[in-house]
Amino acid sequence: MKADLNPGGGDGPKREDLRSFLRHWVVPGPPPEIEEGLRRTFRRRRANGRPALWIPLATAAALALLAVWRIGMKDRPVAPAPAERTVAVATPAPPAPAAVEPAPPPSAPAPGRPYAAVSAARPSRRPTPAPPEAEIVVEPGQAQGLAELGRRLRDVLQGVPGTTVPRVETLSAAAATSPIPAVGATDVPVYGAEWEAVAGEWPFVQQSVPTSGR
Amino acid sequence: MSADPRLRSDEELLRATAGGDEGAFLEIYRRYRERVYRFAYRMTGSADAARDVTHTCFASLLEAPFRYDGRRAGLGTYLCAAARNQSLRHASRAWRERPAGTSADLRPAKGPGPLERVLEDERAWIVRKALSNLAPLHREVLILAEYEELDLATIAEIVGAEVGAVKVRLHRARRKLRSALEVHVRSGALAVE
Repeated sequence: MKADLNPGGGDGPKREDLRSFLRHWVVPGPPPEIEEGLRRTFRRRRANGRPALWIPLATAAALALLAVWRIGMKDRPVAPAPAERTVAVATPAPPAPAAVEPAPPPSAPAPGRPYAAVSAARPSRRPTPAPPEAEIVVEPGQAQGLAELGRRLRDVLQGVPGTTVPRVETLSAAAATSPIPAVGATDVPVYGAEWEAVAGEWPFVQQSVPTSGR
Repeated sequence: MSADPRLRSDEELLRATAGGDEGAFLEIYRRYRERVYRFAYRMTGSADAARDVTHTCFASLLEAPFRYDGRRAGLGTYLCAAARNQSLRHASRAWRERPAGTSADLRPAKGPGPLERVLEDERAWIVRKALSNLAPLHREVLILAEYEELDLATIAEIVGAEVGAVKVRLHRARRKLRSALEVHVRSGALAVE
């Protein structure tokens, strides 16, 4: 001890005397039952900890069994799908109602039929229809020029292998209905009457109000 | 790592204990059981309480080993701090539940024996009585300093106080104990050896 433990004064025995008095109280050693109790506590905790080790082992075993089962199901031969059903689904045009076999609900497979066969017999995705050909509508005078340009381009590119040249057809203006409406120069626009009603007025302009008298 | 548990460090023994090595755990107990039990006995004044406190302290190494941080203090200091907390808890509980009169453990041992044995028991009883009358904060620093002979820094670590506060508590504890023993010194019950 490095503290000042001997303050002096007359309030009792000195530090060394105090120590000798304190030595009168001798405490016996710990009884052996403490060690026995701790030994039991240790073994009980170790025994309680063992099931925790089995949990991941059991989980891993279950996952391994599941994986083996899935692999076994994949290797099983799949029953061929009924031909009439595949044809009926793949046809873009809707078949006649009498020729179509009623399809079972997807969540309820037919009894006695394996799951893989039911999955294989499901109708495939409907093919996406091809986009329509682009149609360019031009004025009759421009169509002649474009047709001439197309013919020259075809003559140039015909010698290059692997290239396709767009087909150019010239239609008469009367043969096809033009999507551009014919509008006369003297026709009054639809909004003309409304505009005439407000033609002499200025639009509303918001002006700031002065806040001081200056 | 050595096979003999007595040659292994505390950290190695703790790791082995966490791994389920019963021998390592018992080696930790054998290293520190004397200090923990004696301190708990002197703090509580009861052998039964000291037994419970000692068991709880060492069992805490199994229940919550993460509480011990080897970078802060040694394992002996940690166990003494745990014993101190358990003893204070036990003392407050015993104070509420104690009947009128003194505890049975504070009475001097009775029975036939040589005269010197009787006198020694009486002296021990006087010291125990004087120590038990000290405030717990004074009693713990006095026990740790005088009986366990720990330095101020270790005592401060155990009781969770500054070194200066430990110094002050120790000074006051000594003064009070001297005052309590002065009567017995004058009466001749206690004599300087």
